[in-house]
Amino acid sequence: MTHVRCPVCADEFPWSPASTVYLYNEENTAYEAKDISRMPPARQAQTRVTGYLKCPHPSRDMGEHYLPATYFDHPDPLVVGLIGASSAGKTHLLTAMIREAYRDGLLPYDVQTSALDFRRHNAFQSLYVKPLEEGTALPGTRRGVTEAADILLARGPNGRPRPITFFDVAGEDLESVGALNPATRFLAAANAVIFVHGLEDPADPGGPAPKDGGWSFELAIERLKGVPGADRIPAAIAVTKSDRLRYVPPIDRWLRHRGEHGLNAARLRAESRDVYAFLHYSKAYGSLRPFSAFRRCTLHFVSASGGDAVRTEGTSARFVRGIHPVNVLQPLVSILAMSGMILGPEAERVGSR
Amino acid sequence: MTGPIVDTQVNQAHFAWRPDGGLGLVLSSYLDPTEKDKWNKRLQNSVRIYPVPGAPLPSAGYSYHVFSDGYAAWVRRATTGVTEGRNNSMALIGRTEVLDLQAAIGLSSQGWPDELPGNGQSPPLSAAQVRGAAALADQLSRVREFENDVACVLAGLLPNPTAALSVIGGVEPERLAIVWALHRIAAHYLPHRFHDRPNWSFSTYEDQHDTGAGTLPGIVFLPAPQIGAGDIKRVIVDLAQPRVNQADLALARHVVGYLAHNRPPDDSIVDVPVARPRQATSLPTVPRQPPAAPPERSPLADLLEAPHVAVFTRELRRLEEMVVQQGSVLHPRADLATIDKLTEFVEVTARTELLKRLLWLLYGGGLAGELSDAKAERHAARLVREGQSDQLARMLGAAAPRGSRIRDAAVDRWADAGRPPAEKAGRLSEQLRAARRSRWFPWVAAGAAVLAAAVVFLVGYLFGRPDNAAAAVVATAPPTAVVKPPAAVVKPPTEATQAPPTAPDNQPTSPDQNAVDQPSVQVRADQGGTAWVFLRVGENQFKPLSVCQQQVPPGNEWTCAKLPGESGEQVAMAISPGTDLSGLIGQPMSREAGWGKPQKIG
Amino acid sequence: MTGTTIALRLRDLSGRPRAVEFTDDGPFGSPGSALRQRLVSTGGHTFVLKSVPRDEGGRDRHLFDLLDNEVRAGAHLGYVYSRQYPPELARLAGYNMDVEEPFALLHAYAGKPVPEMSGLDDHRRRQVQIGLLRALQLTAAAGVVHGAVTLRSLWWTGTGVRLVDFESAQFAGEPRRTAGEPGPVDVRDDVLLAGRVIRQLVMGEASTLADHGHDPESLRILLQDVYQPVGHRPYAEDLLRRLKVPVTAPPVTDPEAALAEGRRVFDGLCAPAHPPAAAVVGGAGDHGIVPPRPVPARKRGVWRRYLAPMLLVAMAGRVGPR
Repeated sequence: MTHVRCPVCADEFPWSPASTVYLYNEENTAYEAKDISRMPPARQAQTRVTGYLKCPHPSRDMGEHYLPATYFDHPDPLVVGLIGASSAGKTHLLTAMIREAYRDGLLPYDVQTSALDFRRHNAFQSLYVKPLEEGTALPGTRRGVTEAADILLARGPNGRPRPITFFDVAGEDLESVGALNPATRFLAAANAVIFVHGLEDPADPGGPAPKDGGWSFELAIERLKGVPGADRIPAAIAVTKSDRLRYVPPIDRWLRHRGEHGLNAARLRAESRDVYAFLHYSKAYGSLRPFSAFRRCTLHFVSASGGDAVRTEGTSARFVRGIHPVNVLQPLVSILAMSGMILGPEAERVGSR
Repeated sequence: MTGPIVDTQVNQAHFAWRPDGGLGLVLSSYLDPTEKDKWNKRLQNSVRIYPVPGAPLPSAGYSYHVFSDGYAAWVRRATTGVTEGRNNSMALIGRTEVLDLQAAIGLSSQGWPDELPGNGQSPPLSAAQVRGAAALADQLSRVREFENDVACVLAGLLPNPTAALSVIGGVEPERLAIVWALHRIAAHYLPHRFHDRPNWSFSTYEDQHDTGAGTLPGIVFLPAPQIGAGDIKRVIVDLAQPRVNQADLALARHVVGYLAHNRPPDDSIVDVPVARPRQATSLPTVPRQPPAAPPERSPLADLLEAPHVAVFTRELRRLEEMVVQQGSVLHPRADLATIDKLTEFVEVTARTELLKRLLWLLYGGGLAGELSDAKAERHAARLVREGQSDQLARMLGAAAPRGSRIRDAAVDRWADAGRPPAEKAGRLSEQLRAARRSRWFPWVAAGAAVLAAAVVFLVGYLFGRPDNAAAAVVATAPPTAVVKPPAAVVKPPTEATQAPPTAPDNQPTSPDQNAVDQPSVQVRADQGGTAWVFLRVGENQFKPLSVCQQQVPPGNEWTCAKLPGESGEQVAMAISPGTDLSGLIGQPMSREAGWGKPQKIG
Repeated sequence: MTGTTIALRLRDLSGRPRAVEFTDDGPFGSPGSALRQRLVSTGGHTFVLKSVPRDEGGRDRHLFDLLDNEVRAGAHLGYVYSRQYPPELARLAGYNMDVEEPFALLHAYAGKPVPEMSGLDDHRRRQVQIGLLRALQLTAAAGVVHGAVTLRSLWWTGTGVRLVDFESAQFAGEPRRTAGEPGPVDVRDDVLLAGRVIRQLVMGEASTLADHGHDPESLRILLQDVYQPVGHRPYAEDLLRRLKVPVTAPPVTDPEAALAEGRRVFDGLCAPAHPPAAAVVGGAGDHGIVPPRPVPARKRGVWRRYLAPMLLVAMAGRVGPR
């Protein structure tokens, strides 16, 4: 019997492998319980791989929710939350990041990834990855999202698999001070955070620059502080839409840097230094708060698309020259290094002071 | 004599995306900020329009929402705005008497601007303006055009008329017609069958309709099945492949035919209510009669459900304030079972949680890693050896790496394995146990024994004949000596035997004076396994109390003695190798695969 | 079409978006460019609009790279020479790389391409040589390598030379795009090309390397070691000195000077005041699964602790009354 925490509702409860697995019936559009105790071990394992477990959810303040049946088979799950203002670029960054991860982008770091929840992964591919690959700008995230965006299973050099659950909620929810907002519940379960600061253009060309959007960061940090050991959570600050300033130093250097394979803590530190200096110069002090709040934190210039979307008609926008993501995996690589998934002396130096 | 004043004003609210604040209510006819906030919150999940892969966006999405306080909102979601999902939208909000379904359909049939009012003004509308829209609601021509689809949808709904409904596929022009037709049929042709349908909220365009989508209107239209949907507790009619009962379809076609040709109902239309299906997919009801008073919730309910100390403390504080304010205490409303549960939380769950947090403060988050540090190890070893808390010592001992001095300290602390935590021991026995744990205790005890012998000798010598001198008192055997139990019957690990009565020369094996002469059973465990004493709290629910005593010489045999001071049935079970319950004492759990059968003790 | 109004959304050198209306002033050509060019004007100023048309970009993706090189070099030169932009170099005004027909906007080049100059006398030839070398001194000081220095990329403005068409530009230290000399790109790569241009100016169009033996002595002295491997090659300012031209330091500014304060703050925050945080497995802290704890090892007999005292007691008993 072990004690586990659900990444969706953040409830803790004792758990042991159950003899009941839930399978999703597409025809009846419902999860149906299946007793697998009488199946031979091979069939049990197979059923669990595509099945679900129903979270017991002791606190009973959210709707029913399900996790992959093998989720708790793996110790030390990583729950990664993306924090940022509305339109900071969280969804685009997460989509580009997961896309790169599934295209073996983590292999240079000896990390292999696969899907843990096939249905969820397929939905993520259809709704986000494929449209982005086709050049469609993704819509703003709706409010009230409580489910995870995707769940990967990552295997590090020691072969030990580890689930990585990603949460992407609307900026409006992250900036809401409502205590009862279920969409920010994941913060209680998060043990890694990516703070997303978008390089925003003025609303009108030639107009004043938009204000610093650090309020969502501030709220998230305060919410996370309530959890013991929160300052040890690995954190990364990603400056998204860096393509907008891709010819401006030092961003041009970092977007074009085609570094060596594998982890380089000195390079990450040099980039963090330049990102920090850039945000400091831009007076985006709110967006630098995480660097002081967390003991290990890296900073990155990233571009999920490589360029701006162009409005076509109505609210539709397209990346007319296709997408060319740059540096999108670096925040995740840093987090994996800081959380012990990537091992070695270089990894130990990542993000440390 | 005047009648009730009905609020006939219909307010406007416009939603758009702003860099500071995101998508929200930016313009309205409300003067009261609380009303603005209220409607912003009520409608914030209903104002976005999302694309569906492979399907075009509609020209606009229309929805009609009914609230339990007698208000309704009609919302038009445009496809202009900053980006997809950050579109402009407008809402009209008023009493359901004014803004009813007919008005909503009529409003949806008109043209509306996609952009926000440019001059910053957003005045309320009058009831007359809105009722005028209701006059444009007639969809009869469209019903005739899409008669087959209307019949399919009706057929899907007939078995479960109060259910939430999702219609997949079809074309944009028919959606309002379907809603209008269903409502008309419910009102005029099948009033008994649809009697309990509480409201006719609808949305002409949604991209999700599973339980994760939140509260949706009663009838929604999706251009395609939702990708990656979860539980969908709605009746679904996919117009591309409707799976409807043939009898229902026949009735539906018949009724829709009547409607399409404006024929009044007659005896050929059989209108009977249907029984509620077992799997309720009904809409949340807006009750027509005052509902029965719900069963009163105990004021202690939230306290009972508190999962953590922080929540428990918060609830306690709230109840304290309540008691002070109301001037009445809670014992009349707290039965024994409730109090038992609450005290169990305090004495067991909270204690464990707080000790865990204390250990974190002392040694950090990863106990095993931190305790391999030499300084931390020494500190922890001393704590285990000399600290007052048995439970803390047990938790540290369990977390320590093999071969560490902490484990040795744990050995030093207890002469034998798994003495029960003396939760309810008296103060004296606590002090005595504390004294016994000192490394000097044996010398002190020996010295005391020698002194006692000397005193007796002197007394005898001074006051009695030499032959009447009290015999030297032989010190009792050390209370922690390991005693060989009587020969036990060897049984499989699933069974246990009642231990024979202890022989007179057997000393109690526990230094706890309250543990003398407790009934016990013998349990055989697997190689490397253990045996534990549990308190049964349910049919398959147990709370571990203490590890049993391994017999000497060490093997697979364990003696499990009943723990004093614990009320309830105590049982012994063999535990599979590799399982340690030290950190879970007092926490309810189920019997796991590989464990022995529970055997009652005493 | 000439005379029409074009509304363009573009970014200036600091990356800020602008919306400007231009008048199309007709086609434009510079012999060193592979991109489409037109002249546009607004507010009395004329600009060269270099772009990649949709159909051409569909056929040859490389055209986008050329435009990117032009913008990148132009932006960097703009930052480095923000105090005082030299007339010897083409000057970028704005760009938009995210539209279907991306473009760069450069201040118009006055004059004509050098190949179209007729009747070059010695004086004018020397002026062209000096102008070219000065331009390369400026690009070298900024760390920019033009990469395609030929007569076709030189314009005579009437008073001097302007180096234009940075479509093959790179930054010094970057890996070479094409096979050739070993090692990374070097500012002296342009000196080799400049040497060929200078020789061509003196010896005519038909000159080849094989003709070095017949070069005038002054040319041989000027171009000494220019054809050596890059490590042994002179810099542009060395050649200027050989031409007896005063060499002044280019008015460069550090484009990242504004970041110094932020870097100092970062360095201060990262000063080693605390030892590195102890590694927490998984970084999960209090989260995650609590692993099953191993059973405590068997406790050694505690009876040994009582042995000596027991012996003492036993001895006391024996010494006691009999």
